[in-house]
Amino acid sequence: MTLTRRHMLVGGAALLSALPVRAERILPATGPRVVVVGGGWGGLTAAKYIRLLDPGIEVVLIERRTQFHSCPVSNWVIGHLRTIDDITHAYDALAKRHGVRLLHAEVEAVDVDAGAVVTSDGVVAGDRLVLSPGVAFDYAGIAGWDAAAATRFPAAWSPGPETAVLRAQLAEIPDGGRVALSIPPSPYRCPPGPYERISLIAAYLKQHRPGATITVLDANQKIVSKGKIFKAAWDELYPGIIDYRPDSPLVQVDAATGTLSTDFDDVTADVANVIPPQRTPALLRDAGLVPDGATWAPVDPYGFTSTLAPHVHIIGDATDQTTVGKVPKSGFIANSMGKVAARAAVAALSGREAPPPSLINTCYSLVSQDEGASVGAVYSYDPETKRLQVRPGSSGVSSQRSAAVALQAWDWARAIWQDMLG
Amino acid sequence: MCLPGSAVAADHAGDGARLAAPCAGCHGTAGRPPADSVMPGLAGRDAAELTGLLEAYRSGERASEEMGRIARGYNDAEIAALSAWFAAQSPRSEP
Repeated sequence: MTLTRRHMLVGGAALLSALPVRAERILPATGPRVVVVGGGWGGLTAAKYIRLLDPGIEVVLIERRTQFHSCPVSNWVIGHLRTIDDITHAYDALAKRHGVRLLHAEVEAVDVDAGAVVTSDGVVAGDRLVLSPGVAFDYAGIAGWDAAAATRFPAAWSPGPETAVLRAQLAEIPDGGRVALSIPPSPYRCPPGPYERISLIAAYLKQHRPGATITVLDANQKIVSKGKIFKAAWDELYPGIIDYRPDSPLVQVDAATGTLSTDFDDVTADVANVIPPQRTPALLRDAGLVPDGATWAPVDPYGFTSTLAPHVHIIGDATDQTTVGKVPKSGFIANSMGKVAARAAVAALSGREAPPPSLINTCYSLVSQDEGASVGAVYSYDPETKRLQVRPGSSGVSSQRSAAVALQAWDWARAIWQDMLG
Repeated sequence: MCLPGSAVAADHAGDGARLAAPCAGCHGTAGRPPADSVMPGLAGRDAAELTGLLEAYRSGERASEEMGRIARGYNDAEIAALSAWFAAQSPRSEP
């Protein structure tokens, strides 16, 4: 393996192997190559579909984690409907079945002009970059945020260890106890996600912790997605359990007492889940792909190319919706974006013009342990505005919650995991 | 890229793979879902059957809020291209 060869190159200096070897080029290309940064929903899809479209193009996928945890349906784990193992998958098939070269390393910088990615293992260069870095959490506006707060108030908004921590915290709540949950201002990853989480926590409390309640501090004016469905479910299924407070941005926390504060209220709870404000990770800002003062990375959604570096593709939650069009920051959309970027990258490498994008979104949410609702739309490109546009008549939300949608939701996850990883 | 929207759509309506790619988000890569899925497989099915289904979802004659929304997102030429592409895929199962 190339990694082994690299370790031989640095010789027996074991101490050095822990340090970044910035200048050293690793994984030399043998032909046209795309380097994909990020093994989440966008990056995985882009990597697999580039190989499906043109097996003559080499793909290197850089991801720090050695196992995939699914962000969609991770609320099912927090609500004790599934375990973390149920949403954890190996990356192996991408290499074995599709010949994607996986590099599990930390990405330290992106050199846009050189088409190179600086990693903890060395520098990987390619003819084309696809960046799918996800979101960064921004705690700067929350007074009192410190290491103790980070431990006590896990976001669990990127799946993995924190998902398991929040699940375990929930199991420790006493009868009559209190959960608090704060929702950041939109846009954030997964618009209906906080409300699904509230529903499943309420369902758990109702079933297992008599008298326990959940207080929600929502920075937004109202429920961001599927509002009517969630409201009806909360009123009918969890009366007296959910205390929902709109227009209540979190401004301060106190880890010692377990208190979340708005400008007007203090809520002290046994378990508090702070879902923080989100933005494009600093990696892209440092690479010059986010304008000064902006929160997200602007792209032209025709091929999901950066408006600041048109030869670089950016996909997934990191993209700026004001430049993409009215698409949600969802896993399904990241998967669709990955396919559009794959087609655009392959076309660019062969000197052809890419075909216009065609995307779908469908987001399933549970409102209880056995009922759910969906929202979705079909999108195409409007050359006039250079934005994605909803195809007329294709956008909508479930008229009511149903058991059928809850059943579809899990099989949707299984299918899209296979589409990314299988 | 400077073509008006309708001309772009007409130019590429025959590109079934491009239109079909996002369908894999529920139906599996190339319309082959995992074993025992409630999501139906699409690969290798008769093109006329698939067109009939999409038209029935689009008109509301066949009930599904999810597929109704999605089917309304495509015109006749695009439905024909989608159906032809899925019909041409091998129905072998995915792992």
